[in-house]
Amino acid sequence: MRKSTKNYIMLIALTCLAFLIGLTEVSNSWFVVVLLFSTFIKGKMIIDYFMGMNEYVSRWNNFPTLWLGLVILMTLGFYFF
Amino acid sequence: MSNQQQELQGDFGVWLVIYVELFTFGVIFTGYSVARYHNVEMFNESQLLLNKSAGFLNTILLITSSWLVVKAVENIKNIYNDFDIKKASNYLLLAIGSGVLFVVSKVAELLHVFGQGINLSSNTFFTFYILLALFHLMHVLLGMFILFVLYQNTKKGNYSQKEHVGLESGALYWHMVDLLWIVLFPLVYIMR
Repeated sequence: MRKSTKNYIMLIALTCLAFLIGLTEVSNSWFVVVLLFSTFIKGKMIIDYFMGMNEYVSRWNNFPTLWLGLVILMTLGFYFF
Repeated sequence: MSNQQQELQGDFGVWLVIYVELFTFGVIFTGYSVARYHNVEMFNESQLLLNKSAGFLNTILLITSSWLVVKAVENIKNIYNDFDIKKASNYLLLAIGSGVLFVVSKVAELLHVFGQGINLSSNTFFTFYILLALFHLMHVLLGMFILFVLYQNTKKGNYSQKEHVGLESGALYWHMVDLLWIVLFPLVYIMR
């Protein structure tokens, strides 16, 4: 099985996890942490394997990942504080 | 040249567009989090009116579409004969099909929301929801147009193992649209 297909299956699985968390309709801090962590993993997979950033090393390499990390951290920050 | 020092996919222009788009959406996502922080109850109550299943379906459709585009690019990069060109163009056609389904689902969802008497000025949550939905939808529509151009070019055999920067650039734009939705979905539909 190609790496892109493995990544696709993983992305679908993490999306199902997010949907299941959503179905509970519960405000739970741990659910939010799991949800946002899985969102970071999904975004990182898109950036690294679909956009091909894992094969490229330069100072620009980290911008999309940095963007993703900042958005997730900011969301977490405003959720908990 | 080692594998770790390959050139960045696509051309510089598309990366510039991607960085600007990421920044713009980043500001909107931050605005959403700040607004939610000031009125958590209203955001949680309003969120219950959204169709989570539609959001889930849309996520699956965009991820699938993005994966199909990756498959198309893989086929062109490892092109061996005309069959690979045919396969690549078929993958792109299927990716466009997934995009069409996304648009249909999104428009139906928005019409349902508007049908409930909700509009931009209903409350802050719906202002963000409608603006984000429409702004992202515009990007999906542009991305689908780009995919259609890529499909036509691939079908004509305009890309080869060595010359496929145009295909990569268009694919990158589509992956960015997917990346934005991957963040938008949990933020707006799930997190409470």
